[in-house]
Amino acid sequence: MNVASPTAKAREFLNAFDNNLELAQQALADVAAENVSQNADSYKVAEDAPVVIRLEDVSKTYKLGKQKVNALKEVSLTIQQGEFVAITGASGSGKSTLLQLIGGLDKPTKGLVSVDGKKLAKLSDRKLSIFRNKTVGFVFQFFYLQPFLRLQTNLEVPGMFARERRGVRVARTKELAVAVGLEDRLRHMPKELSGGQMQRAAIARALLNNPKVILADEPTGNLDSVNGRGIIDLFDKIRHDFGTTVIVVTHDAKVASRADREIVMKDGERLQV
Amino acid sequence: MIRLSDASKLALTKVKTRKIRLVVTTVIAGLLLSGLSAASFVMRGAFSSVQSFSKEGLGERYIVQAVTQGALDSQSNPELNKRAVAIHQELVARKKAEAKRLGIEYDAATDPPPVEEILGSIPKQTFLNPEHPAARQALKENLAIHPLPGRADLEKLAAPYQANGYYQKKSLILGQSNPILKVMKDGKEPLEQDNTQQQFGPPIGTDSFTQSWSLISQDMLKPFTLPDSSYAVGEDGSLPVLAPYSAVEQLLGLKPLSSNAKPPERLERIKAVRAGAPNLKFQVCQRNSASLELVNSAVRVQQEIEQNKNNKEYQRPSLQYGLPKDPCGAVPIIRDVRTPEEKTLADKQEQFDSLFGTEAPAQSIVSFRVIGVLPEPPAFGASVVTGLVSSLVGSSLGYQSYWFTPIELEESTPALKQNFSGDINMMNPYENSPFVEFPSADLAKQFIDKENCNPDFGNISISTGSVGAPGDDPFAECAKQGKVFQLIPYGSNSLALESVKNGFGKFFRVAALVVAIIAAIIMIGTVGRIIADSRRETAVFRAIGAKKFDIAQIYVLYTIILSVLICLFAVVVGYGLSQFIEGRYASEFTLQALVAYNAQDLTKTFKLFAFHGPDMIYLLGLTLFAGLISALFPLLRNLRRNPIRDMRDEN
Repeated sequence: MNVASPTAKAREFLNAFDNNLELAQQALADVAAENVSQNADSYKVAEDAPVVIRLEDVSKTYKLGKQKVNALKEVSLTIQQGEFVAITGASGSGKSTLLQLIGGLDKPTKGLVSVDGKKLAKLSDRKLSIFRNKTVGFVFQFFYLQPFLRLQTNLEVPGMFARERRGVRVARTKELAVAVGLEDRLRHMPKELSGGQMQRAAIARALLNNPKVILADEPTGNLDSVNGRGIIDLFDKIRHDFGTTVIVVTHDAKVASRADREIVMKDGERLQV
Repeated sequence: MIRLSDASKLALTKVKTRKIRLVVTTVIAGLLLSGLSAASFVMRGAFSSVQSFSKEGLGERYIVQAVTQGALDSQSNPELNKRAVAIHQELVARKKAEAKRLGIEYDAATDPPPVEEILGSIPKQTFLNPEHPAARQALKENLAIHPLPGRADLEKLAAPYQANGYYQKKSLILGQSNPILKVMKDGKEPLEQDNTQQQFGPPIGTDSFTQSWSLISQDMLKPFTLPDSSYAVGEDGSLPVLAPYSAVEQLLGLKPLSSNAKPPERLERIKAVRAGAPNLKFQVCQRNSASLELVNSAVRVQQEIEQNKNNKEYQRPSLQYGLPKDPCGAVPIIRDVRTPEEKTLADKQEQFDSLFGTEAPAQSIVSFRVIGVLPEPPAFGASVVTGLVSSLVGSSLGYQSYWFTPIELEESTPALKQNFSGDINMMNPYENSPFVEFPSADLAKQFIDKENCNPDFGNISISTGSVGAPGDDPFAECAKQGKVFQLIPYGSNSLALESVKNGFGKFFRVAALVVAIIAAIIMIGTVGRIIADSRRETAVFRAIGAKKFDIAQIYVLYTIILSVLICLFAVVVGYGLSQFIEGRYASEFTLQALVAYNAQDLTKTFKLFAFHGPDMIYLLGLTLFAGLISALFPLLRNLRRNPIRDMRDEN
């Protein structure tokens, strides 16, 4: 008959404790997400809220070898401050291009892109960098956290490019960490976080410089449904708490259904829904 | 613009990626540069040690030897050759007449001509034998008309350069008519050459006396003279002499150490030699050529008799000389069974020889007293280290084993006058050249640079009776410019060391530049890879607000970190290498330097390590330069890329 040693018994107990702790943490996170969701449901954008994004007859043509690809065709739209907008459409429909033009990562071939009153086509590379740093915050599908920096420092990176003082940055990251539920993870390395935590961290990073607009490209594309729902709840909470405009590019109908408005793209054109 | 501290934080994350590549790059580039850092540590250490040792001997004195050209140059003078031949022919004619008068035989072929043909030369070439009596006579006559430049000329030339001392040297002339001097061992005269000391190279130890006993100005001897020694002739008649190290060792009865002897053992020996040297006395047997010939004849006949003791047909010579009974004594006749006719003939021959300059046998003992020990060049087959130290550093009065007596004693000492007041040394003009001393290396250099004759030997053959056109004189151009001496730094390599030091500085800079270029090529691989790998991250940084300049700053800082790592590695490895060299060779160098500089303080050490800040700063600067060059093109390429495409590509 095998008799377990005291060490083995202790190890077994600790493993069981770890598993239970993880389950408990997950349950707490779900409850928190549910609370966020309930709070978000109550947020409504005022009808007279100022227009923060304006696109007028925006076209974007790429050269692909000798061929010209019309990624966007005369797209016009306006988005008000605090709105939560989902941009949907099939792959290659132009939704990401639209997001990049709004984010000042690219310039239109034709038409006007104005964000927070700034006409992006007229901005120099340096001013566009400042615009991206101060006015918009990007959230990517693959999070793109720096693997060799602790979460605290990762969140500070946009502040570094803004020459923000370290003390101010640290205070702001702590505040944001609480907002995204990662206050106990600030000393951790990205590899020690789950996918959902990493995306929440990326959102906190995007919020560091108090942007007017959050631009999220498939933010739930790399997450399971529970974490995906949590992220959308978080976006809702952010626009509620900070009045930030949130634009999410997504394939996910559930995500789109949570938005105030859905802009559907097809073959570079905006479909009127 | 991003703050430096933040840029450094982000740059450090790059160091953590591609660690193996980073380590390989650091090691390879670092090893390349480590050679340079080691060279700097070792050479600067050596220079600093040389500087410390050069306070000994003639190391801090700037003496220049002024070599005259005239004596050798005279050989290419056809008139001189003709005169020598005429003197010879006249002598032969007189000898023939005298031989006829005395009724003895004389074969003119036993007197070779002063101008001889160079065997195998095409077209036929001849040379004037400077040892030939007729040649010497012709040269003497020539020099009386065209005297060689001497001390007065040197003083005139050197005065504008603030020269503060003039010295003279005279060497024994080896010739048929000059006496042979042999150091007596244990009170006995060595009757045969002792070949056991050294098989190759010039003689060392006491055997070197005959070839290298010289007179030199007392001022030049001072640094090598033992404390409390007198330059005067002793009450017992002993002449003061500075002897080479190996000779003192031999005179003290010390068996030479093996070439494998360890430095501590050799240091002990130096101490023993130094301790035993003061007032060490020895005697020299001086024989003229006639006396030496009798000794040699006695030795030869004795050997013949020994070899033929069982040969009944062997007949001993009718006149037999025996070995001297007293040390350095006259050679006695031990058997004379010559017929009256033979005796008459011998008397006539003696009369004939005496008429034509052959001296009667003469020998005498000269006493010496050691007043200093001179460093000497390493023996043939000595270690590389020994040779290196001796050739690079050191302070000596000659380039072989030398014995020196103050020249100031010559006039008042018959033994010196007899040996040194003969003909000028035509074989080696260096031996009797005057010296001039300057107060600084700069003045000595200026003097050499401006007044040195650099003869053009390109147009001249070994000379001959037929050669001698004015255009062939290699010194003609110098003479026109009033440059009558070849000027050579003497006594120490202090001037050469200044050049070596400057040369090393230049070499270090050029070598470092070459190595930096190679290092840059190696670094391009790593830096380029890191930048290429970070395209997505760069795109993300751009999306969240980084300017192009911020990105450039991060990678420049990364390159600086990499360069500093490489430089640190190079310095650490270089330090290790230099410590190895220091451990392996420093004691040997110390020993050689103690000997070469004739250091009075035997506790001095020769270090092969010194930290030279400017070299290290230069090395770091070049490594940084190499790093920045390596980052330039990948970075420019990276900054021109479209961040959107980079984010998509990596997905």
